Amino acid sequence: MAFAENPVSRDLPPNDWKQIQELVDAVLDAAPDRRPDLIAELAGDDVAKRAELERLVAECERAIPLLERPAAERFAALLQDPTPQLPEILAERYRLTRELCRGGMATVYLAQDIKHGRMVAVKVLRPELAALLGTERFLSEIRVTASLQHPHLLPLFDSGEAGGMLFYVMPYVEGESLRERLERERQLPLEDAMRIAVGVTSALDYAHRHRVIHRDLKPENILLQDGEPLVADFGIALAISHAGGTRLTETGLTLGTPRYMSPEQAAGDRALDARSDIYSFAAVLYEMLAGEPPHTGSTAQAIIAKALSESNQREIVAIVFDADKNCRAFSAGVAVEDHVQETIFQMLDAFHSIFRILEQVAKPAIALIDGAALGGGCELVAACDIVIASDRSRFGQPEIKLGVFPPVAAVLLPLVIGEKRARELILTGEIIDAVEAARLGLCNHVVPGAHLEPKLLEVLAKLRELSGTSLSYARQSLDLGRGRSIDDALSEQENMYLHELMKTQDANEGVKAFMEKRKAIWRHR
Amino acid sequence: MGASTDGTDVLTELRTGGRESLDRLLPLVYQELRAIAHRRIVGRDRGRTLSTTALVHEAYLKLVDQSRSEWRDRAHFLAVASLAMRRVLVDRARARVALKRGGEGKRLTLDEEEIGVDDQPRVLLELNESLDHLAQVEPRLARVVECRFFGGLTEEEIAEALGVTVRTVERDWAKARMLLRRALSS
Repeated sequence: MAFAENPVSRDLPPNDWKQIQELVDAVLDAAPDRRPDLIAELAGDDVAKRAELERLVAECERAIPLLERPAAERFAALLQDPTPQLPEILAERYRLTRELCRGGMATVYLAQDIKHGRMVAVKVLRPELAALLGTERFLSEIRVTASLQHPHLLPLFDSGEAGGMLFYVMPYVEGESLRERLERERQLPLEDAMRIAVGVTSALDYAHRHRVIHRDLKPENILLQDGEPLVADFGIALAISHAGGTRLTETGLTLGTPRYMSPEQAAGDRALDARSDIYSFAAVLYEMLAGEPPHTGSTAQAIIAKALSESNQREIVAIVFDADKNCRAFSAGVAVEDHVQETIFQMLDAFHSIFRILEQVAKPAIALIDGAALGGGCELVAACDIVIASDRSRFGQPEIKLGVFPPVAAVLLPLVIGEKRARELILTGEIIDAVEAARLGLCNHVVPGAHLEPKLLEVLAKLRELSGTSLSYARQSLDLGRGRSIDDALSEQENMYLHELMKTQDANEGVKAFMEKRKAIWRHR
Repeated sequence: MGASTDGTDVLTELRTGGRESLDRLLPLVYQELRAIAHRRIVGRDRGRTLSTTALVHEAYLKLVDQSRSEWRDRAHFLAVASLAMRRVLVDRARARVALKRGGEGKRLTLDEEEIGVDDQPRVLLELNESLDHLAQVEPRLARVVECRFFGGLTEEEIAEALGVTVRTVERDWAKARMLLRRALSS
């Protein structure tokens, strides 16, 4: 393309570029130390031409530091975060300052409310979730929340739909959440804990009288401003669960042992009332005073077993074991302290019943892992149909370090990851990371933590397209292909486990040492 | 992956500036690079310097695995990947700038090595614009910059991808430096 025809006004190449380019090329082809002589030769007596040639060649030789390293290094920050996106309409009302946090379901931005000149927190739900919820229902549910006014309730300023995204706006609280404070101090002084408790209960009482329940009360949702609590996201969890309620339950039954969730809620009961919030509040209060949340222990396993056995009657397409970092479902096997009150028979029975029922269940089982899936957790992973893990997850069967062994893993793990590797994991108690687990075939997808839920929604959407009946047969056929049922294998193993291993000194010493947080002393008998 | 090449040499098309095959392949590479870049930074490699070449090569290995017929030519892939990398960065920069409307951004200067995190979107967009401008005047020079800077390709790889000699690539790079500087100082 000739330069003269270039419609862009910027004067990019020199005016006589077409003529002089050949000369520049010739000079550039020569070795650097030969270039001055060559320029003189080519320009001849034309002083102006010589000067221009010298200038152009010098410009060609001059390095551009910006371009000397690859773009991905120079502009690493651009590759780093997922692109923040805000719908246009929202951008007219709020000027985003920065991203405050990004979770599986929503991203929270610190923003300036342009009209009112105040700082606010804008929470934008992920598009996948918004699509699942349905705009109308979400907005009508959230209207109920907007009517609440209480000094210990974080009010709702605004909510809406913009560019297919659902959002709501709350005041920006400078301070921290109770979670952050607990992480720092673990246990709170009695006076502080009571001050928080009084505030939270008065807010709960007010909301309950207005027939609104929180449904997701936890330290993350209690913000502290000058020591006074502000309960955030009131009714939001409810709006989400109501708005998407039917469709979410059609899609998946989420199981777990969340620390602050009431048993009826964890079991998937949708007809919840204020009592569920009070249960959650008590768990939060317990944690403030005791420094750790109350143990759910075998109750959790009973909840899981109950919900699992009912799952065939439910209109759902999959069972989701959701294990976030506060959840014990995937560490059930190593949380020995949960079971100190029980006999070994009770403990093993409660735990193994999950696997026995899981085998009878007609729906695909999906595990969502974000943290450690060790011991019983790892066995559960091996038993699930589809496993989605965050990149920080770890897997392993450390039972041998407690002087015992994992009966379910002994059956399943060799089939899942191969004989030799399974033997090594079980016999050495080695812990592996998510990448290695994916390589071995122990998990299907490894994603960044924030992508767990979207990935789950993606998988659920696929399953929803399929026939539940066919899925159930396919699942049975896969179990048959294994050649041996978990139930049979466990029956044989439990015999050895209970009547032989658990009578040895080492097995008892191992469990005892674990609970006393010391190293076991083996007597080899 | 899409239909097989049905006798069409996509590389030749790429060399002669044929857009169709490029447009067909680009989304694949683009998606792959985004995924890899994201996984790398969010994942265990956090804090480590990103090497474009490593990203591009990883994408290559993955895509080669999916369809052996399509990427008959490694150099061809690398050139497409360079363009994809440029688009990944431009898309992200645009989204960032949209987010920070009204804010004053820093102008592009070619002599800085470290660009502050907040300045990166604007600087990249300006560089992108100058490259577009360069491409209008000297398309091949712009492509050389694209391959070298965005794709992290070696001179040999660029020569192969564009169907020219290594000497031409060296010369083009030098001339591109001069022209880009002029474009920006005007």
